[in-house]
Amino acid sequence: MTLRQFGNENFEGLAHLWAQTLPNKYRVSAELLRQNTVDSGFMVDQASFCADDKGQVSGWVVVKNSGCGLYPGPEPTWFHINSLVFSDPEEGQQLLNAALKAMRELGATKVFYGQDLRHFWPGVCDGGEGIATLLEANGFSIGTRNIDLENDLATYTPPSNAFDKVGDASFRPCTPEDIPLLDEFLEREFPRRWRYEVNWKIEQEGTPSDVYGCFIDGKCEGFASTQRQGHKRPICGAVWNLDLGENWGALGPIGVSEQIRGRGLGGAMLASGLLGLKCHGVRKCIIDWTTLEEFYGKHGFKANRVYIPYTLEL
Amino acid sequence: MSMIALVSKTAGNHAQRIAVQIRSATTFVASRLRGSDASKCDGQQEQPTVAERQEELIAFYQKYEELVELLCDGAQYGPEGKLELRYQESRTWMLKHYGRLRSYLLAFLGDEVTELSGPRKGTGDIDAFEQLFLAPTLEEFLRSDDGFMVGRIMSTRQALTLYGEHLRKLSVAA
Repeated sequence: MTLRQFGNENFEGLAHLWAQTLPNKYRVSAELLRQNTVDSGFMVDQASFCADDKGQVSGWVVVKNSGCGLYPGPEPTWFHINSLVFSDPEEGQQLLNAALKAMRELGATKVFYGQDLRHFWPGVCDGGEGIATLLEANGFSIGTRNIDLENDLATYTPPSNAFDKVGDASFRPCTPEDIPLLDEFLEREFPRRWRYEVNWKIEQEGTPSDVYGCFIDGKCEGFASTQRQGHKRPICGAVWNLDLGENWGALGPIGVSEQIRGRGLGGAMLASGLLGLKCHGVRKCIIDWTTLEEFYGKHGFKANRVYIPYTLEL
Repeated sequence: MSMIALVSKTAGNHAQRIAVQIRSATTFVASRLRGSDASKCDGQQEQPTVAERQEELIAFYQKYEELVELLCDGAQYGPEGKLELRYQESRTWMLKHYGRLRSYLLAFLGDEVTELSGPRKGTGDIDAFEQLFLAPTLEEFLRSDDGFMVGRIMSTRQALTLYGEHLRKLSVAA
């Protein structure tokens, strides 16, 4: 087995290998693998490797940069392991060693497993314990467990009190004319990754109509980003659309401004987005990367995926 | 206070069951990676094995349930002499041993604020586990109950269970 730089691979083959090493619910298409690695614009070529076994790829590690400069927060010395796939622990160790060595040479101070821009996951997924074992043995620290939740929207109805306290707030899909209001809100309340990703997604899909806004007195005070089958660039929980099945949907990120919290508008914002997805015929819907099991549970959502984040300080 | 008492009824059995689950589900495989030169990156400190962490968790879990039991007894009968003494012993043990598990257990506490549990991570810099034993006396603990103690016991217990499950999976993968 030899290591070589990860590049223009046979992504059908990689998707097959991925499916062999992880639970079925985490399978991904070759197209998505390409989108989230070489075509993401964030892959660090020098730190991404394939394990080549007699001409066959038997594992790989893809490292991405932090997207430093796109929004406040990430440092240039932060790196992300986007994916680490291996057939046996020794191979996994060699891939990790090579990636860490390359990241050190690039001046890395912190390495995250997952959580990258165009990520697959926010941590090691359930069923990926071989990866967790490897990371823990190499000194990675454990972070807060989080989950994805799912619900079939065919029978979704909001809790009976969901819109009781909304006052004069209105909830509706955003129009192109709303984009400045939405961006003003995001800059004010969620100026980091959420603002960047919501604007990127609108640009990719060519419409803001899958972002639902909460409007009060002519200002945007809340949002819920949604995705559904037919979207060109599935992100966040929508990366698991193969498992979600026909008429899949996704909701998130979602948030309301600090000044209106505590009035139940978050629940109304959620209900509004979910009803919008239901009207589009969405069946299985995913809400990803959260710890708010009770909040989403009131809307019928149940945990189906678990992640343990890992980081390494170098 | 009376709600706390409800928690204690099954605490002893639960502790035994969890300890057995952790033990029986584990083959205590010595980590294949430990001691292997190929397994470590340059400069990395040796990590405790999964088996060692499981043993540590089992010991902690038993002491934790003893603490919960006596907190519940205290809520029911008041901070009488023997209970206060047991609290001091329990508190001392927790102060000595909790630090080693803290980063792991916090990972499984979650941070959802609910009507029942209050902030699961605890308040301020004190986490939900610490809030069960940082009060200097049992009397002070009972006096300063903020109404979230039941939820805090439930969420800390769940965190212990989830961490145990995590270690069990790691031991199978090792």
